[in-house]
Amino acid sequence: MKGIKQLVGTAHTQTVPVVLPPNSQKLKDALLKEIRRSAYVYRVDCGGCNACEIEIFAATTPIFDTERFGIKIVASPRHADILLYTGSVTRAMRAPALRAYEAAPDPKIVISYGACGCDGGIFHDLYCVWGGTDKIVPVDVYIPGCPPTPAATIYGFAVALGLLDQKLKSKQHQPEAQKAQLKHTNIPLDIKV
Amino acid sequence: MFKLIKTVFNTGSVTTKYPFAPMSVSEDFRGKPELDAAQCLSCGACTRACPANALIMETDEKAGTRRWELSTARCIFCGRCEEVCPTHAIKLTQNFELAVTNKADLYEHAVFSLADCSQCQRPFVAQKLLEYVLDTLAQSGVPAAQLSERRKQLQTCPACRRANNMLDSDNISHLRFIKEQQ
Amino acid sequence: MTNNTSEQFHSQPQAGRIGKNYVDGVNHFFPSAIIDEEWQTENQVTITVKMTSLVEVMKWLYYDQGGWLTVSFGNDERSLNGHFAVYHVLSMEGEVKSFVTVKILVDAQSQEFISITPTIPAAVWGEREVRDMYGLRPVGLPDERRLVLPDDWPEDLHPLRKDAMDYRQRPQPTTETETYQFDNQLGNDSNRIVPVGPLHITSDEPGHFRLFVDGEDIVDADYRMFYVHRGMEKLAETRMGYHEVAQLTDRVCGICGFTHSVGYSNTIENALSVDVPFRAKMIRTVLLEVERLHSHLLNIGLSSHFVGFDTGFMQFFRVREKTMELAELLTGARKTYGMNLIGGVRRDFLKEQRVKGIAMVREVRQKFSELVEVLLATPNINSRTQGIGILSKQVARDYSPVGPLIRASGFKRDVRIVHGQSLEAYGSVPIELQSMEDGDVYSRVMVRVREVFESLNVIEYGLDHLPAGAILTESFDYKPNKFALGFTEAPRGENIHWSMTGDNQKLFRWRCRAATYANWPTLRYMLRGNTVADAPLIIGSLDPCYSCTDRVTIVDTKKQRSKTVPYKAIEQYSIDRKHSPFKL
Repeated sequence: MKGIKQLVGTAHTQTVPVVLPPNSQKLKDALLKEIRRSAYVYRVDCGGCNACEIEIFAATTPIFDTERFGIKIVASPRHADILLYTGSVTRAMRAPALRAYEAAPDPKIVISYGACGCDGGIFHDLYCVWGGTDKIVPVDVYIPGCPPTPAATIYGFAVALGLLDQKLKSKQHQPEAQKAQLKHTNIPLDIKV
Repeated sequence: MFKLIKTVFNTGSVTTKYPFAPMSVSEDFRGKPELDAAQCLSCGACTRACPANALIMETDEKAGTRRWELSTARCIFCGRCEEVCPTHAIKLTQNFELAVTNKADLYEHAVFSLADCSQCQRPFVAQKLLEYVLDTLAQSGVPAAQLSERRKQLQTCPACRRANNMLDSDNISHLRFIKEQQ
Repeated sequence: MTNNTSEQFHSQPQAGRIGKNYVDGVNHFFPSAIIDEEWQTENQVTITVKMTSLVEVMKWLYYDQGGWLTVSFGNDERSLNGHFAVYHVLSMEGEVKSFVTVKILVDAQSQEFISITPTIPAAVWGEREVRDMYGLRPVGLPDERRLVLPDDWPEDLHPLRKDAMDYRQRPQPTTETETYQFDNQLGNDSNRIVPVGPLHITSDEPGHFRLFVDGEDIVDADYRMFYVHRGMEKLAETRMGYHEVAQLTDRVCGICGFTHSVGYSNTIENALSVDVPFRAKMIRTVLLEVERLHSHLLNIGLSSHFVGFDTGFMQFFRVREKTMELAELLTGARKTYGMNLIGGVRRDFLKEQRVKGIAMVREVRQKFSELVEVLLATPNINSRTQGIGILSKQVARDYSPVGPLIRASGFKRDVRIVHGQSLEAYGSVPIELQSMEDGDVYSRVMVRVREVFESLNVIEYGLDHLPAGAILTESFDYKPNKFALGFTEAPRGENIHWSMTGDNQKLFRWRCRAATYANWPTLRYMLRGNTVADAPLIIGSLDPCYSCTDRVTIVDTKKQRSKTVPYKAIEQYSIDRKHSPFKL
């Protein structure tokens, strides 16, 4: 079956994400230059709890107003430059989500929204969930949060459009450089524990 | 109709200046968790409490190390890790600007070297955790001689301890009770 | 004692046993039906009855004694007593207010049980779900379609059975296409439906509707939900401990998550008779009302949008942002408050938060009143919402819907008032039940408007009169196989949870029924006889989870043609009343 890999016969399987053609990065960079002041976004809800949907919605309302950056939510993926995936990809929504991906014209930017979209969130290993957007389509930008606040959403769009740089970097901590400090040293051990 | 126009007019512009000006959030806002590596003992309390498995610990017995990992991608920002940490090593900050283009930037690691069991020589607990427990006992007044006994006792893996208890006929509790009765 | 089955049954009251009269009544009219009687709290009882007496006992309790079917679910109790079990929970709202759960044991070999749906239509979804999840066959159930599991799920794999599968197992999809059968109850045999399925170019939101139309009038409607089924009930039995499930329940629904969290915590606290501190109860009550604020403002804004009053929509959302700020001030997050633990709450309200909170409440009240005045003065509202989408009293009585939907049809159902004494601190705050008689969209909007004012009062009262004391108690023990109900009034209606503790620091079973689950079955009756342009408005007045209703297929029964139309187009038609998308 297309897009499904067997792990233990038909009893246990996992999805295979869509593979990008080799020169897509160049096309995406060209796209970003064009859509910097006017980006059309299409929301694909892959089975989220709706908190992400409401926060995206709140980002379009007067207090946060994404439209001042030219970001518009459109009704059809055929008009979209950016696909915004929420939810942890339930079984029922896998095929529709792929169809939305195929319907959006290339080149396109894919944003994975919320903890569920980024890596499956709290539902990452359930039987009816495939575990996050990048399990089915290639993702360009990740916006973590549960749900991400409208301000985080605006920041995420700014990163996607190349207006701001990402702030987060992976870290390798050095836990053994120092000893851990004891806490509450003036309370006897028997009472503390 | 006029009431509406008046309301709209009086309200004026309410749009926030973010991202052109910093966004203020509540004092208790639950943003990204940050680790104070010096305070972390690899005890695993946060890993057990995390509802989303965003915190993971993996042991590599051959290399004798234990790796702690935080995934900001999967984190649900609930704050349970902060609540259960015994040494206040992990805390939630106000940082909400977490979007990235490279998924690897959402992960953080810390690696602990493990101490070997004094009996079977297999690595089982972080050296740092062992030292912390001994420091706590020392600070609570346990004398030095006892401390070295406790060190030997603490540096025994659970499997060896179980075996010791079952074979140690002098110290098995029910026998001790019978002896006292006599 | 009386021999008239439809009169309220009275018997000798017993202290600490509210609802004993119903059990005595069952014993009086149906002797030897009850096999076992077990009390969980002072107003919750579970009676195990013989399967042969099930239908008549349920009918008596439901129609004759003022009961409403809250939830029906199954449980795999083979490791406890060798049987499966099916539970039907009734909220008794006659003279004596209590919860009566009727349980039947299902033989593990035959795996069949008697369906009560022919008598009580409200049970239809519960029984279909038992069939999906446990493989038990409801004998006599008229609708045998799959409900919850997706079309590509293998036939004989029933997830909630204890021995069926690991919670992480993901079987190979059995089909690439959707195979759900839609039914047209009022159409006639000469009509043929062209199955332009939910398999369309795109499905933005989970949920598919089919309207069977005759020109512009809706003849019938059917729909497919459960695209969002993730498998949480199995997760709660496996990977998670009790406190982690409290975090999980926050994410059952992104709009009423905190109510689920409170409902779940209450099940364990009721089952183990935990004495939750009063301060924690008041904190929970305040936050439940804060959640109601944001949800009702969302719905009122959407209703304005559907009648074409877009300015109102933006204005209501502007005011709504203040309620989200209030939530962030009190809990640390705008949504997914994550405040509950078993035995209380995690965070306190400090003086600064209380003072700021009260100021915000007053600001919201003033701004909201202004907007409501503007809204009611808008001509669109009356003409577009009065007399539309009526929920008749008979349909309401048969299907047990909840929330503003049923309160707008004249029934006084609100868990905060009816069962308020056993729900957090609702017994001690000033609150009144809001209801109206007409049952149309206008009534539902007005009920919600009034409830916003009630919520603002409760929040202000709670923040002002927060009782002193602890916020969490840990002095209780977990005992295995104890069960109880937990109920809350979400913005959409009554949420009910039921859980049974396990013997391994985890739950044995958790059942969560959100409010909209009980309301969906009534939708087709509300749509019948209305025009297609009003469909979004009627669906919106049900207040489904925001994005549940995107795809609509229009089937013209006279012309025998169908066309799939994007929801946005219908919405646009609802607002502009021009350029009908239904030129088939």
